[in-house]
Amino acid sequence: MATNRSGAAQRPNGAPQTKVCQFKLVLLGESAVGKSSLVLRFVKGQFHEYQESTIGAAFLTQTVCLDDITVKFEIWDTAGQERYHSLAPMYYRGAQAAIVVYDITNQDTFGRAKNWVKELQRQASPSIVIALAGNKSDLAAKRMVEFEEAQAYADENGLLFMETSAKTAMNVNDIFLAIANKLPKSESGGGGGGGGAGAGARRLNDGDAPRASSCCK
Amino acid sequence: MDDDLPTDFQVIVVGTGMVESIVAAACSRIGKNVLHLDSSDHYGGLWASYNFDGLQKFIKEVNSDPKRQQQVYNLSEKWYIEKETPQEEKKEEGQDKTEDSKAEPPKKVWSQANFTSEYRKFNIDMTPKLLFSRGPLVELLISSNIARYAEFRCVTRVLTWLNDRLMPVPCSRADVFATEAVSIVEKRMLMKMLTSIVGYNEEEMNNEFKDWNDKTFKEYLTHKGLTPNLIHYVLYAIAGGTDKMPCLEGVKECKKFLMSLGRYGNTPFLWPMYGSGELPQCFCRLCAVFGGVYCLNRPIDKVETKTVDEGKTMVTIESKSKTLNCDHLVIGINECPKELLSPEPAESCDISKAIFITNGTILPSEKEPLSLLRFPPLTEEDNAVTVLEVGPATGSCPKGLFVVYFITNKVKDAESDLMPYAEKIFDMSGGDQTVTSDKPKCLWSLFYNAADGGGAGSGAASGADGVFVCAGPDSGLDFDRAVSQAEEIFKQICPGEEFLPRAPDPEEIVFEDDVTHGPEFRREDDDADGDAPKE
Repeated sequence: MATNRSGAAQRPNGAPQTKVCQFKLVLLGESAVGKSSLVLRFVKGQFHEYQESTIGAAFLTQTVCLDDITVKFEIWDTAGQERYHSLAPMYYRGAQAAIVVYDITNQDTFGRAKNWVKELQRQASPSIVIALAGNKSDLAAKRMVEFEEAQAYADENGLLFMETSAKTAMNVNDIFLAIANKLPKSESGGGGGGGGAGAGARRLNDGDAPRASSCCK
Repeated sequence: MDDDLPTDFQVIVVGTGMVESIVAAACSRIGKNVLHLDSSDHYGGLWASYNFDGLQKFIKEVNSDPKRQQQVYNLSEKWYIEKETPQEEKKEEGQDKTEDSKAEPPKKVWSQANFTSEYRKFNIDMTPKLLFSRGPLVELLISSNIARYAEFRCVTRVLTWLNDRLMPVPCSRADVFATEAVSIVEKRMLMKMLTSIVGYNEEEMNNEFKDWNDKTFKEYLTHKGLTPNLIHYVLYAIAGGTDKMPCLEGVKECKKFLMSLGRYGNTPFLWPMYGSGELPQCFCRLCAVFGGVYCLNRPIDKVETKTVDEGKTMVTIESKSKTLNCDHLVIGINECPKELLSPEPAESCDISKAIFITNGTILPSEKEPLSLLRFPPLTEEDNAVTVLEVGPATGSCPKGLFVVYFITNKVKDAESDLMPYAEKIFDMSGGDQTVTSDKPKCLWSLFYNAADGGGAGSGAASGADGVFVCAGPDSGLDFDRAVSQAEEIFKQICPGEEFLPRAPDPEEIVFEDDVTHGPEFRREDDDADGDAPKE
């Protein structure tokens, strides 16, 4: 079986390019806090008031350009597996970033968000970058979770924090950008602990000679 | 908590083992409404991987519950190290010894307490399996686009036990020519034979070997004039056989091995990051993405089938005093109430397995190795033993350790069947870990026996209409059997439908309002913005 290595060679390599780093980002939070909507707003610039979540939101990619580097997010949605507390460990594997979402109009979802943060600290890579998003900030009139309370919690736990609105787009790009800035851009992130496959681990694809690195494709 | 669980589904799958998970994904993918349950708090069933703490719980549970010993039994765990490290003295001693002689840090002295504190860094498989690079599971993962959920590492070398020591097996053309273990004449001989085996199609193969039907592969290799060393490589290491292996089976195994060479890495094999137990979860995720509902910790108490109008069957399940209805029930053998299993006991040879945790690799190499070792039988009665050694880079264990899996067909019991092989490659004495010897020290071991899900009578058996019982793990190296059983069951549930067509990539998904997503894109998920009602 002749190995076809041309797949890798065809990639333009010589020209000075900005480095592209790929990161796995997982979304967590109770049902109906707007996880999928945040991603849809970020990736597609869209918002649908009553749209049921679709398959697409379960696995989307979007890039963020920083000064010298392009960060490509591979965004994983829970696909509903969180509803009966049945998220699989593979969901957290190798995740370098997470957004834990709650609904500012629902105190309960904030309590649950804290549990998700704990779960991440238990299951995910120790170096994971976690952002807390208080979503539905457009519904401030019905606010049940105070900004200061969430901010204090985030500070205590070393989390990025913003109040967001998928509906108005407020802070949506910003929170992804903040995460992109905080992610280590050296070699494949993560490493050690429960996450970060690191060099040598590979995805399978059609090509006969897939590239090895999970970062910087 | 899960009382708002909907009650009516087209397909209910109970158990998250490999076969069940593939069926769940396949049904959900083509638009069936799927509920997937598991009685335990984790994914994988008999195919699960555990961290060290989870494994301890698993051992305790099985040993204290005879009902759970139908599938896994004879569990025997043993430590070869102290409970606590006598820290002060040991550390100082270690430093004293090494300060002049070597730059290498002293070998870590592991204690049971270290395992406990680093329990999360272990991912230990109850059903470790490799994937042939062109085997049916790899092809399915790629064609269904489920491959994007998992990462793999290439097995870096294939080893065998020859002349009472470990020997790397030259398995690619380059290897064959590079190796010094075989002469030039032998190399030509070997290449000629391997090339012809790869070249045969099914028909040619049957033709070429029609006179060999009742003869062994070994007789064929001898007839071809291969030297004893070459016969050893081909028969034991490449074909994974024994002296009794029938000729055609040997040829087919060789072909499978050779066909998978050169796709990824130097050997034909892949190992999933974090262990084989990740793979059922990947299929579960696809099922969820297409709307499948997931609920762990949900044991079922009773299954009843009743015929409704026009001979159509409905299956009802009692679970936590809730009644769930479906057209088709797919259930793992480990979750299955006795009355649903076919009454005749499956005549099959069970499997003997062992897991060892060691403080080094069985054969040092430059980079961290990932090894498949195939032991020929040491005695007449024994079967061949398959050994997989995985290290920290696979996410299986903390740095400095290796997890080694042994698998063979059962003769007596796991410990008697496998201990003689373990002693060949490990130091089982439990002595001082800082002493360097030619063999790694075994720090911990677990022997157990398992029913062979590949045995006779455990096909896509169904005790009742609309009920499909999935077999447990088989003794095969790859997941061939699980994939084919899952496909069989799927075809019975969804005749005429495509088995796991390719899921779209993110770039291909359109979100415009006026686009109809089609049934397979619809999800019953209230995870949208707004106050979606709970069912």
